[in-house]
Amino acid sequence: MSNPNPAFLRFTGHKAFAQRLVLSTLTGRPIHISGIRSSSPTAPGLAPHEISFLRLLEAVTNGSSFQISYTGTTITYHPGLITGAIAGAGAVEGDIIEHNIPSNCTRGISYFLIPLALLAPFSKAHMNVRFSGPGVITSATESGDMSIDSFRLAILPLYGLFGIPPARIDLSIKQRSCPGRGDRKGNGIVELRFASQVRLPKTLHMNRSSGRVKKIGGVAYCSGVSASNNKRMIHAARGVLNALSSDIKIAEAPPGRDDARNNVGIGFGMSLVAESSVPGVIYSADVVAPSEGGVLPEDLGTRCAYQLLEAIDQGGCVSWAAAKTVLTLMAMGSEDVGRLRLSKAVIGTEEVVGLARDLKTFGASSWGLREAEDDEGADVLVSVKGSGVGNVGRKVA
Amino acid sequence: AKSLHGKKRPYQAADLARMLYNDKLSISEVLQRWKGADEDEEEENIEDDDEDDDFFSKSKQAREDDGAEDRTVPDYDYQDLAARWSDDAIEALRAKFTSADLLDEDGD
Repeated sequence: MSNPNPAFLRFTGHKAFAQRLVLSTLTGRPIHISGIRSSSPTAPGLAPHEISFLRLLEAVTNGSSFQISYTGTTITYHPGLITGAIAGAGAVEGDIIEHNIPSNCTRGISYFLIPLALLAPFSKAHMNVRFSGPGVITSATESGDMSIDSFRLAILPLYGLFGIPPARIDLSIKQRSCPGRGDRKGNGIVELRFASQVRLPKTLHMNRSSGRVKKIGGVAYCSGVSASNNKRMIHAARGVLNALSSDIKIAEAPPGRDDARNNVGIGFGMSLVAESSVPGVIYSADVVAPSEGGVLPEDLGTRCAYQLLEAIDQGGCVSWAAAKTVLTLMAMGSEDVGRLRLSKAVIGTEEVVGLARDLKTFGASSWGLREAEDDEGADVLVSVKGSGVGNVGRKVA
Repeated sequence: AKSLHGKKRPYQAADLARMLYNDKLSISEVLQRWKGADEDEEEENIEDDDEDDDFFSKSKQAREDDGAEDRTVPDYDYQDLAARWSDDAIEALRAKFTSADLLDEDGD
């Protein structure tokens, strides 16, 4: 911040692209990423969803700039200030930023929402963004994005643990959509109004037992197809889960009345969320019908249930899907040491280890790891020291 | 006796802590070692494949590209999962639910 031209932090590869841009924006350090799919013969360089994410970053910050090389395999990014939606500067109508995602983006909307939600608490003004266009897919996708329902039920509640009240985070799904294919892809409409900006997120201590699963919720959704698919998925999922829990409430999101006219992607899918008796311990699972079809809703329902069981079996206080969000917030939050109990199956993944190294590169302190004593060694206690990134006093990009 | 004989136990937190920030190791190497993939075995393999060095490096590259990027939903083979979650496995998981018999838990 004091040095007008700080050195670029250098990365290679296309993995964790959004995560590195978010860390760069939060810490204010410019980055240089090279070798983005440089060995790919068919699609070298940045993918459409990554370009779209860069556009989104540009819209919610002031003073960001990026240069992309001719082949798209190298990018330099200078982060700006996270401004959020300020009327007149980016926000076009009223107080909301409109972000249109083109049809060649095949990632789900959670690809954009999860990083955006990480930036939002540190924003100067409220972070209000409306996503629209043929690239907005609210369902889960086969490329591994969670559905918007899992994001709402399993990721957003975690912000409450950091002193960021989820009551002031409003995520409304105006139009659901599935990947679809051909001309009918995406076309969902989603509004995120993130109104809880904090001076400094506090850290959290989840080092006790992860408790027991108290209830199971979720949403079965479909768009452009018969609503009976929802019932069939729910019936199959309950067939697996009824034996374990008596408190299962799976909601149904019926297909929209105007799905055909709005040209939304056809498909169906399911999101299951298990809540533990310890507040903040949430496991989630997502399945979606492949865009070429040919899958029975019954099969999807049981798959989703099995996936949820797998997540519950892994244990730990934070599931793999949410671990990156929680660990990033801990590392960016107040300068305290927070403790988090993670399953060994969660911490032993490329993504989490990659995040540890990226955070270190961005100047955050190293994690401390030790065994959790009280059980048979299935969990690891991770201590993360925050780096005190706040949203006040950041005057210079 | 074999298990006692000099073989390190896998999945020790201290091991991961030691390797976590060692930039000489790639992430997949770190994970492999932590999961206790036998290091000697690996070295032997490399010696065997000396002639196929080119082939070996290519397949490694392909594997790296293969990995789906930035997933938030893990990728499972659902047939394996269905086989794994038989009735017995579900009963074993019951301890993680509030519907479990608490007296049993107090007993141990």
